[in-house]
Amino acid sequence: MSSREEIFKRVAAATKGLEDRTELPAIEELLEKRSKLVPEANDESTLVEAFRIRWQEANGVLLDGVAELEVFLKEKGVGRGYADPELLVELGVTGESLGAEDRFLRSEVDSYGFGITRASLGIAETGTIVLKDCETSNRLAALAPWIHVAVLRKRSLVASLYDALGRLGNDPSNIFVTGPSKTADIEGILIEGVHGPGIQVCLLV
Amino acid sequence: MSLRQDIDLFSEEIAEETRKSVYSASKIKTEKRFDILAKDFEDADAVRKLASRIKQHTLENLPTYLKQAEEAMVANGVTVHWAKDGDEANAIVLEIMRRRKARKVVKSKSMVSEETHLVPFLEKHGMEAVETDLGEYIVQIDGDMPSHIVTPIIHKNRKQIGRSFEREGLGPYTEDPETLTAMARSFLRQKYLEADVGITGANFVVAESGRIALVTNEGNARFSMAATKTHIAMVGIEKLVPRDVDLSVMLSLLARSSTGQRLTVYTQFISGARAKSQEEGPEEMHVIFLDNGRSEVLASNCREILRCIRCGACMNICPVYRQTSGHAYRSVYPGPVGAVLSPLLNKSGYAPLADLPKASSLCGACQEVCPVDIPIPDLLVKLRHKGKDEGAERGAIATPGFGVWAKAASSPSLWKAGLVAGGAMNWIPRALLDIDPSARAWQGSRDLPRFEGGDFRAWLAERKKQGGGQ
Repeated sequence: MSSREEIFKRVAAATKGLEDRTELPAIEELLEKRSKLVPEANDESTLVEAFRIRWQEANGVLLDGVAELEVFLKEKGVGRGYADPELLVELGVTGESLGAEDRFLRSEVDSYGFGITRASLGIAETGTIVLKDCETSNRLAALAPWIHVAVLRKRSLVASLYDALGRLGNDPSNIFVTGPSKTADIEGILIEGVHGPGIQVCLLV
Repeated sequence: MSLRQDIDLFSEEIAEETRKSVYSASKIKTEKRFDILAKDFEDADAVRKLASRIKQHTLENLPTYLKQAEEAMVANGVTVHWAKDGDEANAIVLEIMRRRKARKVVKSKSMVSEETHLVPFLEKHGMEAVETDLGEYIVQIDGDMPSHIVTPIIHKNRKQIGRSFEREGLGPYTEDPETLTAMARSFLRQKYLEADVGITGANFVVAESGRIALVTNEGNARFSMAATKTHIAMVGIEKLVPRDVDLSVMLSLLARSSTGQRLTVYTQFISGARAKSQEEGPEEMHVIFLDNGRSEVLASNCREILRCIRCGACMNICPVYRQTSGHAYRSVYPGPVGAVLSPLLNKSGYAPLADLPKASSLCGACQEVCPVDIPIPDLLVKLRHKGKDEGAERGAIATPGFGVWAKAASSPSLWKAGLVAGGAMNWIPRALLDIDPSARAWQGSRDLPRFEGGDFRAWLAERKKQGGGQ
């Protein structure tokens, strides 16, 4: 008997005679028990306001529009960076104006000060952005540089975690990001920027 | 054999410094958990009960959901493997690596791979295997054991870590946590980029979509899956939930219960190799479903323990864990959940860990904070019975004999005689009372109160005479 068959046989035997089985809770109950942080209205400005508060509570940096991004990058004094070239076209800016290149070289991964890629969704309830693999031009560029800038369209905001989970679709990798990379492993002291970005920016457009 | 329980002996040897850091870190996390759940939910208790029902339903119908998950994964292009025990799971990893001509592995934190001792196994077979969670990496270079399932080096301080990093050549000695973290960042970054395979666990597996959900704060699982060409996820068969949206409940509770965060920084939902348009990431994905004793737990009267989502809230609040720290539990899973799960999953049987279910005052705090409402105190009592029934020596250590009491309590004349004789306890020297070893162990840390018994009947008769007592 293969291990697969044996495991299936064992779990079948273990659950066979069970009485009073627990019902799977209905979807309505999942919705009803969501947190108080889910905005009551679903219009764009309500969602933007709620998202802004939660995102900043999670220590994310929020920027409004490309002009703010240009100022931010200058202030941080970052040198070389990367930006998804298609995204820049949509934003109507050139790579030169931001100091961004259109290729992310794996062999020089530590030489990039920032990476700019797309966020597919934002969640108002938790202050979270969603990076889908199909819309992220390069996984390393969204992760390795100290500053990651995720570009999120206001119309891509959803109210709740529940809503976002209903939109995972068939993308092989949905990454929910809530703030910068962090650890408290050493004596419980919070340190940001462990393996991923130490500064996580969301550029709302 | 000593009459002290092993867990007591371990805790006696803990340095005062360690005890303090474990105590304060656990306490802070418990307080953060209470605050954020109360702040964010109308009725957090009702959410715990809801999560509990989702997991209990899944476990009771596990054959159906396992089959559904397997089918969905295969449809997603994932290769699914099944392992009865740890050895088989490790062998599958090695086989995949050999086929891929891989030599180097980066590993994210996964309790299940701790169970199977995967890293030492791979090293023995000539592979380089590096733990990438900061805490787990420190545990690895120190040849230590994790003492908490979420914060594995809760028992270490920055000075010890500074010395370890200096010894391993990560940089000059420092005690600054920020510098230490930066040193690990730059060292491990090279390891990711050189590695062929990324190994992760999974916090949840969704049956309907075949997705695994994986949470990390540091981003190590993300890096493993951005830099390597092969992804292997090792998963316990109990990790399932039926629907993607069920995770809205589970994830709402997991990080809040664990670290007091609303969500863990990175929550990844992975259902296969990288997208076609993607430049970096795995070309293939493997999932290894591991039984390793879980199907036996499912068949037992302690199956509720399989609802556990490994948040660590029960250990953070547990008065015993706070005093003993995790190593005293001598197994992968410490604290209240470990006191139930570890002896049940133990490879060499229940008996060697039969003392763990006794290391509890049954105060019930663990169940109150559990995000899936596991009746841990009830399960501990069931396991105490199991220890007795199976004659496990460690299940009986330091329990005073009740034989004499039972005999006296079943005979009215002996009982009365005992009540009269009881007064003698007040003038017999203590040293003479400690003749029985179990009495000695019991009294070593307790004072005997003054005997004031035997007067109830006399008191009642007097009270009736005076016309009192209805």
